Amino acid sequence: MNNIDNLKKINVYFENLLVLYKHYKEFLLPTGVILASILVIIYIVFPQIQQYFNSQGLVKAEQKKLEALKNNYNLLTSLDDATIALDFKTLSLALPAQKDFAGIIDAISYVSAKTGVAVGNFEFSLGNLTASNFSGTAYPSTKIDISLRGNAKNIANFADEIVKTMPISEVTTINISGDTGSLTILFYYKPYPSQNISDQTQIVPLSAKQTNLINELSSWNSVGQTSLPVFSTAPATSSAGVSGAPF
Amino acid sequence: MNGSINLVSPKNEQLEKEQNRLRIVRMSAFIIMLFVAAIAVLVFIINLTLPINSIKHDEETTLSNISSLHKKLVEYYLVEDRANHLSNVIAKREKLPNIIDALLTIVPGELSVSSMQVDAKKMSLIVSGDSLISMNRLIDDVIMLGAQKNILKNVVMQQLSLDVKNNKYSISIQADIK
Repeated sequence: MNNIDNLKKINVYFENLLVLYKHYKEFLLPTGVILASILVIIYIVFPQIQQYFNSQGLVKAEQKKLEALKNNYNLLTSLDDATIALDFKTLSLALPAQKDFAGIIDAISYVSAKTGVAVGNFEFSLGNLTASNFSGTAYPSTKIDISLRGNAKNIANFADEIVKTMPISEVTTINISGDTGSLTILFYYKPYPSQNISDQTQIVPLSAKQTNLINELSSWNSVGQTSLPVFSTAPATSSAGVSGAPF
Repeated sequence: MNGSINLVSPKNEQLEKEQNRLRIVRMSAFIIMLFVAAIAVLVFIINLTLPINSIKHDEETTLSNISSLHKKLVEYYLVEDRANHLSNVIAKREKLPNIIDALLTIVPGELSVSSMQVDAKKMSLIVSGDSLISMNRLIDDVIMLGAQKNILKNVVMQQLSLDVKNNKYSISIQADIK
């Protein structure tokens, strides 16, 4: 009895479904089209719009990069080779990449002769000689205590001239007593940047301040010779490490 | 008799409503399909027209041009680097020679500098001579270096002494550097 009841129930259910299908048959296709359109929007149109915005961002970034490269190229072609080489030499003499003992001795001898001050004993204080000592030191320096013989005016002239002589220095103490005196001088140096310089490195034209500085340095006393790095004409590869030379 | 009996079959009206609904659904489906297709094609075309490839090509061309100027690029980069560092060093270094010059300029000719010590924080000056008037002028000028020229502060006259044997006055002045 139970089985017969169940069969009847199923039969009624299917009949209902059939009636509903017959009644709404015409709606099936348009509804399917609407659903398919929604799926197309979700799975095709939205990702494409997303891709458009991503690509637009990429285009903007690439355009910016291209503009920077073109600016670099235009700037480089507008520069005179000889002027850059001379500026580089001047600046490297003024701020050597390493301790420049010969430059320091030459500078002291030159200023001594120029100001008429006799140089007595002097003593270098080198500090830690390992390269790791540079870390945390913005501008490493070689300290030198120097004894001078001359009147106060001449010793003052000596101090005045030594700070306008290459390599760049700073007088930190001046003691004058009668016809003798002593100075403590720091001679600065700064290693070249350890990063490899790639062709994509952005460069900007020298500011008026930098140009004035170079002009000012050209008028400084310069007697030393500094060893300039030899540049390779090949660009640095991106795989090169940061600890290498910049060239 | 019941006057409100509807003699017209409601079936036709119902059918008309169904037909209307079907027409609206069909129309909506068609419009949505067209709209979605148009948008998809449009976005696809816009994506195709983005000039990424031409920009990349231009980049490569410019880079190859720059690579022929690599030496110049490195030199110029280092010129900038040195110039920046030199500016910093010049800005931060003490101006002691200027202070010494300023001090020596105000010492009158009749007086002589016996001792002078200057560092970044302090200066001390001992001057001797036989004229108290000159010494007074020196004190005035040292005070002026603090008040007007902004070089010194806390100027203190440490000592004024007389060496009877040589008939010479000696004055000792100390000050902080500004």
